Amino acid sequence: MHYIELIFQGIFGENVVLALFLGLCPFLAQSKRVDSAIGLSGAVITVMSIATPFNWLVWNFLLKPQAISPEMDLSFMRFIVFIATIAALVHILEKLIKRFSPPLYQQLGIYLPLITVNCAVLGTSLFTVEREHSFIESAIFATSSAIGWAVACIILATVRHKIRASNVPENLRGAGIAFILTGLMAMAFSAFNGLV
Amino acid sequence: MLQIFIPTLIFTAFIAVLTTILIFCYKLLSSQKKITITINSDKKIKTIADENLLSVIQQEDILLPSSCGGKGTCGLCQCQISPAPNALPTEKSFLQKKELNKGVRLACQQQPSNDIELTIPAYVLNAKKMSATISKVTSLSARIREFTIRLNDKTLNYQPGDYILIDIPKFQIGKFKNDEETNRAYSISSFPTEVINEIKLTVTFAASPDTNVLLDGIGTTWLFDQKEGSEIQISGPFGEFHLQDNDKEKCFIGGGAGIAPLRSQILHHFQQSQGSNKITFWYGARDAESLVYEEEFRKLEKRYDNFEYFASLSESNENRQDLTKSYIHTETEKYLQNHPAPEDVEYYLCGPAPMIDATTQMLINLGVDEESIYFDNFG
Repeated sequence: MHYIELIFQGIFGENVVLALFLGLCPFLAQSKRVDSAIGLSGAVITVMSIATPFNWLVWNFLLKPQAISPEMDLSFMRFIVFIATIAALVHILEKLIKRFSPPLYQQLGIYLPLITVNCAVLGTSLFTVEREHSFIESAIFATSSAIGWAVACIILATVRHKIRASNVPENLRGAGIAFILTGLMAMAFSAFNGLV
Repeated sequence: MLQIFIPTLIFTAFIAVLTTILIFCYKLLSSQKKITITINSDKKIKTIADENLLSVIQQEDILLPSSCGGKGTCGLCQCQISPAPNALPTEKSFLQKKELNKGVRLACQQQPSNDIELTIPAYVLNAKKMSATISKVTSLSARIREFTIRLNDKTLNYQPGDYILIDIPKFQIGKFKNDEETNRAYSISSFPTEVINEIKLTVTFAASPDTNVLLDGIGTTWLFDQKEGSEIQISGPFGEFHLQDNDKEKCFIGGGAGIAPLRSQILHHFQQSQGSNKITFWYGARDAESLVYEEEFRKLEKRYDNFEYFASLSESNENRQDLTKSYIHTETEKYLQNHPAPEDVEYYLCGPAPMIDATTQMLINLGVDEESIYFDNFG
């Protein structure tokens, strides 16, 4: 039951984009077309659900206060170390995909390296650390957060696809209407907040 | 002290571990797949997958022309690949749809991962690298110079209309600086039998048409700084801009430095055969001073009944009231409108890109088939 709650929290209640406003730049940039939104979503889900548990390991066995020795506290290094692991993981992942699934690589190709600097990935790693999740909890939370990001991105992409045929006031076209849509979606998602 | 030292050490160690894992993964995962590249269904090259095609070709001493060092900005390294890979946006800007469908791609933008068949123009395989000496520099006008280049030991078996690449080293002239070794293409303006083992290049120092400010062209800046006697490295000949061997009327339209390959073709034609087919040459210059080689063509006009030379000046005809002030393609149009069959004429165009575009459009409007328009665009 606890895990289901965590999944629901990750996807809806604490949606990374619409509740926490993390990872907004790729969210706005890649939601112009549905297919690229799906491509990037796939990359985010893969990277996030692997990187977060990995960062959990790094935190618990290296950086946590008293992890190495009783008087050592390396927790201040978490930002730089987490980013470094994410970057390395993304690279390995890219090579793996290129080697074993060239069609998938063609699809994700340009999006994968972009994920390295996606703050949603770093944010999720930091959350699991702060909330003292267990390893399994961190994996579940990360995957559901990533799915939450994907859901938001694909919804915005489909809405933007639809809005191309609508009569948007000229000065709001493009980024302007995307911001307004994001705000409206965030308000809608805030309804999920009280559920968990 | 220890508080700084230990975290630094741990962080460095952590990064080192990550890097090691990365290097290991790269080694493990980078495909060592061997692929075969077949060139013109004859020569076979064995190489590793995902290598840059241009560098693979160049390592085999095939001088596929390239001026930008593989950045995808010069569009010279064209080759036909089968099966045709996806075209990148960088390639789409240089190639027409027709060419893209045929599988023509830029070698510098391709990294083949499977066996491919490559078709490169035959002239590329015959091109050679050689050293040469600038034996004479003549100023034809303030901005146009003629460079006579003596080939040091080899001969250059070129056809009229071909071009060569000149290697441009790193240099600094005044404020102008070139940071990397590159090369630039120049059309040959002499014809093969003019002087043995010598070629001539007619080079214009580009100036913006509106402001007369000199534009910084790397190759031309360097070339204009060379004195008589300087040694240069050239490769060539390259080119597909050749005269068709038939009895059709031929119409040459040139602008600015675009006169170079046209001069070569026209003079060569009259040198070889004085066939009876009519030949007209339309040359557009900026002003009376830039009207280069005029005397030569006037002489030719007097000597041969089937040759006519027309010139127009696009900016001012102050000193030459006998010439009209207009763009050359409008003059050609006036002639072709009274021509009985403009579609039976062959057209050879060379000049700046806007001139080529305007002329091609004009010819198509007159009902000329695109197949009989040949051009050398050095935009």
